Amino acid sequence: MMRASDRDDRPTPTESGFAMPIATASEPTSEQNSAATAPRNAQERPVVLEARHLGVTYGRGRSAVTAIGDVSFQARAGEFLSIVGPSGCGKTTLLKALSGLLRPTTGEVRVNGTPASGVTPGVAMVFQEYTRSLMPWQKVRANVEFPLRGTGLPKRELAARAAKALSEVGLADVGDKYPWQLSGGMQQRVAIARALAFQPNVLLMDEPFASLDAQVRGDLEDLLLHVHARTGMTIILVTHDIDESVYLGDRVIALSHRPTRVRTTIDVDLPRPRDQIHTKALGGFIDLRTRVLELIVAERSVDPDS
Amino acid sequence: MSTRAVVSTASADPRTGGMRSGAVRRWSRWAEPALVVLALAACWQAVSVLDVLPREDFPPVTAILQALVSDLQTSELWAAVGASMEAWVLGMLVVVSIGVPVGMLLGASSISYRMSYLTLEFVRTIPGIAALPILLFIYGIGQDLTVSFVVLAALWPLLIQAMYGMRDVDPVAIETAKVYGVGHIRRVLLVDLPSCLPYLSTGLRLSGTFALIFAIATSLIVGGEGLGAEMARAAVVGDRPLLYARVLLTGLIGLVVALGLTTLERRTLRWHVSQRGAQS
Amino acid sequence: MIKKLIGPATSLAAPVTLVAAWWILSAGSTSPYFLPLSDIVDGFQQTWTTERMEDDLLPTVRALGVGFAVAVVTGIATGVALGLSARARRDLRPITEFLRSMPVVALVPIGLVVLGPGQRMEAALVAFAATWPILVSTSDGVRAADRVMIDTARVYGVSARRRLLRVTIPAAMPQVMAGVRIAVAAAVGTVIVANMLASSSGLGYLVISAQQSFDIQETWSGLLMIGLVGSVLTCTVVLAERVLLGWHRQYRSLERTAP
Repeated sequence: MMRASDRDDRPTPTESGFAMPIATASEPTSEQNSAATAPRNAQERPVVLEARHLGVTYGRGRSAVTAIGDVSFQARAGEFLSIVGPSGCGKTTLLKALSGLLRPTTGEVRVNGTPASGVTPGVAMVFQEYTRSLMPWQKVRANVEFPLRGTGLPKRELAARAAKALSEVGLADVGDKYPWQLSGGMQQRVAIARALAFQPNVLLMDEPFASLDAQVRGDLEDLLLHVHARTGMTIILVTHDIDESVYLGDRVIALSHRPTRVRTTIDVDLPRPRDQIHTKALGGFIDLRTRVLELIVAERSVDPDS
Repeated sequence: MSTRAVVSTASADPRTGGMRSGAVRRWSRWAEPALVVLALAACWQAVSVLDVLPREDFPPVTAILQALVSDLQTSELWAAVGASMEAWVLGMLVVVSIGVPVGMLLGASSISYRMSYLTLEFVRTIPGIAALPILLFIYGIGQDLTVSFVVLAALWPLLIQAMYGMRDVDPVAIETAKVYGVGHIRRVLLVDLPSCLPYLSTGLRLSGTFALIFAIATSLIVGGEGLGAEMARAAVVGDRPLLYARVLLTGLIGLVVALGLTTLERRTLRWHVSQRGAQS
Repeated sequence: MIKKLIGPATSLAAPVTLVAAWWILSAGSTSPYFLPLSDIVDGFQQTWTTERMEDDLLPTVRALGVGFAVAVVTGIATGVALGLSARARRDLRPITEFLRSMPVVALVPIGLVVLGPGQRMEAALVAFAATWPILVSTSDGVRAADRVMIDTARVYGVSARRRLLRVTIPAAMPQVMAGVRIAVAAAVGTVIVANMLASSSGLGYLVISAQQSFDIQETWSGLLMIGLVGSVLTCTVVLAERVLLGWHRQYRSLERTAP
């Protein structure tokens, strides 16, 4: 297994300047602009995470179910990638394969060009089930620090990173509370802070806002855009919410029904910074979401299960 | 973890990573546990026959089984088993007829619940065995003693579970029943009792296993008729294989009672959250 | 504020009332077996001289303490191992089911034969009896540890050892402690039975010999002491639970009040 300290020794995009580690994120620099205009120069950036012909089959023989048929795509440094698909298309399975929690039946996951074995190094994940992903016996700060402990990081540095990440998500003063004393939206912010403190190469998000109410969801979407702009982190977000995929992403990958394949990739050339009111009123936004919606609806109508 | 390399063939199951076919898996499901039991018995046999541990104290499995088989053919043993089981059944009947209504009543109001639950939680941890001498004064040796001892010791788990179950009845269900004009008695029968059922069956399992322990303990300690007395007799005579055989039989009876009560619990719990997807 | 006082008050009301009722109702008792509570308290003071404590209380408590400590360690260790491995759980099932449903008193004669009378036998029996509740609930707790929580730790590259120590075991802790609590009753009961059957000293021996010589006051004294020992051990466990699972109590109460 890769430890965080091993990872930091390697020349990652984080260090070559394409994405900013959050330690320096607060100073406005030219990187922030480059993150804001990601789609235009995206092709020049190195590929951070790549899925090559990923396939996952559960069971065997007659009871075998192919959840993922053949999925390939690349995520470039600093890119915000949204993945949408019809319900039941194995989105969560795909993320598990990407993170290495699940060994793919076929294909491979590459990180910075190297095939990943086991749990994909340098990946952080935010789950939909925030109540189950945060540990109820630890206070908020300990939860955020948890992945960093045991990595050899000095205690002071560790505390500083956690504090920074917590203030990044607007929760500077709840470190001494237990997660379950917070509202759902705040708990998910804690989970995001934990991912930020980890300073991952890629942040994977599995329907992170699906169990939150609409207003909180909007707030957290904006928080995520803000974090993305400031840190230039590579983010892959899986969602069933088409608006969300277009609103957040630089690109939207639309998946087919099971066995899942990449149906289409759509570039989202909406200007950044985005905001809930103006971006969603843009003609471009409406066109894009209509296109994605059409794709998904078309997929649903040929769903073999229905 | 290092074994989860990138896989490019279609052979690996993502969940088990194994390649065993269905038949092999079914076979190993039954055969492996059976083999473990056999291996353990063989070990015991070897240890005993080779005198690794004193053969006198650890008789070989074959001798124990022989003693068990011949013991099972005597009517004395069956009378003893019958007496112990009778005490168990009678005790459990009393436990159910006191524990369920009293527990449900205590749980029905939040005041009585708050007043009693700490006391009861405490009472259950006080070893019931302590009451044996006093009961002995009152009843003398005999079935009355055993039954009353069983009741005293096994009442608490069921009573406490009944109380918790009543606490946990969904207020929405009660209100629904009220809105539809369901009468008081029918409400208890149709709403309260079914909602309590999972708790009651858990309580029944706990009480049932306790009751068996005490049914056997009584005759073991004070004599009289019962499995415990038979064990004591075998120990006094110094017939080690017979002693082991009777302990084995007691364990088997315990196993049957436990499995029966667990099955009952599973049945009533089938719809309950705790059992969903808990099948491995 | 008032609510804070009423809570403990109502739960203390019942035991206080019960003891008071016992005191008053038994005051004029002429029954040979149910002595007035005041006589029992007097007898308790007379019975439990320092000497008596050394002779009868200490051996029992020592056997209880050693056996219980062994049970906690083996129960948790084995429970964790069984909780982690579905295969071990399945293969050892016949054995664990048999041993755990074995009425533990049945083992006293064997213990006596193999280990002879004495504290060693008592401690061994206590350890055996108390291991099962702990083992079973630990294994259940480990098995029920949340998949998402463990996956989270895995994604973040947390080592298997730390995952076990920092995620799985803490998650199983509430159930472990529930098992430990059940084990208290099993342990105390077993040590008393062993005393009654096979010892020439100890609490169980004291009550059974007092009973046989029809010394009713001393029987009650012994009985009260058994209750006291059980209570003290329970209190210790509850206290440990409060320290270890402070978060859990609040967590549960929050869950219960939430709509």
